[in-house]
Amino acid sequence: MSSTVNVSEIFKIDDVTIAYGWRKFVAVESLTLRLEKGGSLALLGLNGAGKTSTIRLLMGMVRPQIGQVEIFGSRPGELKALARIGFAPEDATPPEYLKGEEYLDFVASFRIKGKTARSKAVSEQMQWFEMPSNRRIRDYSKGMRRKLILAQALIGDPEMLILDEPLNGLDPLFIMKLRERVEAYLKNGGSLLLSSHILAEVEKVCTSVAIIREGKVAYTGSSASAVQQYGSIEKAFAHFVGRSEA
Amino acid sequence: MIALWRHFLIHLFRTRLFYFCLGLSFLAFFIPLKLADAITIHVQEMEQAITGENIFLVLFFVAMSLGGFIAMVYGVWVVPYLHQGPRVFLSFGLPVAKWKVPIAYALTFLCLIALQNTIMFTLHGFLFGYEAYAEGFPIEGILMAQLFQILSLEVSMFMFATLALFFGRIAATVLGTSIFTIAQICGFIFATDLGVEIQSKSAGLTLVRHVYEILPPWDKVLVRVSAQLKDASLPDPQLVPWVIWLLLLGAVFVIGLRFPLLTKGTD
Repeated sequence: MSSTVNVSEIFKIDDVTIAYGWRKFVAVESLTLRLEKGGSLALLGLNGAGKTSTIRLLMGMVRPQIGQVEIFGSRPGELKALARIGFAPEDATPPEYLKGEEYLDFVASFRIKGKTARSKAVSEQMQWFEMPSNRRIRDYSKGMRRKLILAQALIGDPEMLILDEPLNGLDPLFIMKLRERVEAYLKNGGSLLLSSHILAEVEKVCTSVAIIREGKVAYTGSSASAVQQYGSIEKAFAHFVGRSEA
Repeated sequence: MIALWRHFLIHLFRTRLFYFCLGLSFLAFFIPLKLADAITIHVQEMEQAITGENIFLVLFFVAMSLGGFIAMVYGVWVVPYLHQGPRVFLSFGLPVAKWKVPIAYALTFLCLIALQNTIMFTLHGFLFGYEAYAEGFPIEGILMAQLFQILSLEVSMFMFATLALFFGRIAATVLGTSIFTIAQICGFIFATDLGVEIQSKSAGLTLVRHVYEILPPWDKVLVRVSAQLKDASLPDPQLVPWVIWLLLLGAVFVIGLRFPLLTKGTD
């Protein structure tokens, strides 16, 4: 791996293999991926293909058995890298004893300096995500919990967003609203790593795609070229995961 | 750090444990104090009321027993909440140094101990008069006894919390109470002549003794508290194993936070 730091590179994953447990179950094998500043990459694959493992790798939750990973020029999981990432994991639940506003304030206290700026950012997010401020999270619906997880990822204007199945539980109108927000975020120079099964949304938002099949990259390239070659992201996906009848 | 501590305090105040702790502390201290107030010991036709250091020894015994129970509940049920199951990835993603987390938990638990001791001293003053704190009050002994109390309870809390983080809540309750009980039984056996005699005949018991010697010295805490109440002395060499255990368990706890996939209930 080259020792030079490419300032326009958000992350680089070089020939990484991730294996879990004593039996060394291989979740990801020889994975190589890059994301440039301002880019938007979609991770696509069937359930268990290795998308979430790739995200955990970038967050520093798992270490690679083989290969090298860098994110913002640091090792994954280092504070200076975490401070620049907004992360919305799949199936997460915020602490239920808090109110939504309190939880956002807690997250913001690590990302935004100054009480006034923090309060402003929290109330803006609460308003934008249409969340009730006086209700405990335990009383939130599934969709509202999902919104809160997205709100905490976006708070403090992180340089990169990692969204793992962000649309689960959201209504169609809010999906449209969120898409506009993510598009604006990308226009302003933000970078995005998106894992989703909603391929139509991926096609609208992401400029590049990586299709993972059984832990290996089956396709990586621009969304435009995938659409040009196969007709749509959905067809490219079906082609590369080996279910052309889909 | 302040944000973490504030958050953990909110968590504590919004759990039933806090109110349970308040109620239980009141009862646990009030009943023995009321009894001590009423009891007069008759020894060889001499009448003696239970006062002074003896009362504080009884109170610290109650405080340690109750505190041990609260340490178990706090360590097993409250501490792992944010670091297991569907919350682990949100907690992990926060840009906060993982070593600050156990410190914030230790401070939060310290608040619980402080609350417990406030109830203890307030009730003592209420029943025996607050002037007891003005003159001849063994302040140094009380402070040293509190130091032992705090260290031993923090170690107990982190033992339960670390076990819960790595093995789950039920296993942590069983394992933690087993370790604690074994330490107490071993302490009793090895302090008697019978223990020394059996040990000289059994290699297995020698091994048990070696294991016992590296465990936190729970069985010696009350002895030290009693000695400190009678004659306060600093530094007490018995504090060293507690500090070592506290640092060790804190470090293992941080490993659990740093590598969440090693812990229970993550994947």
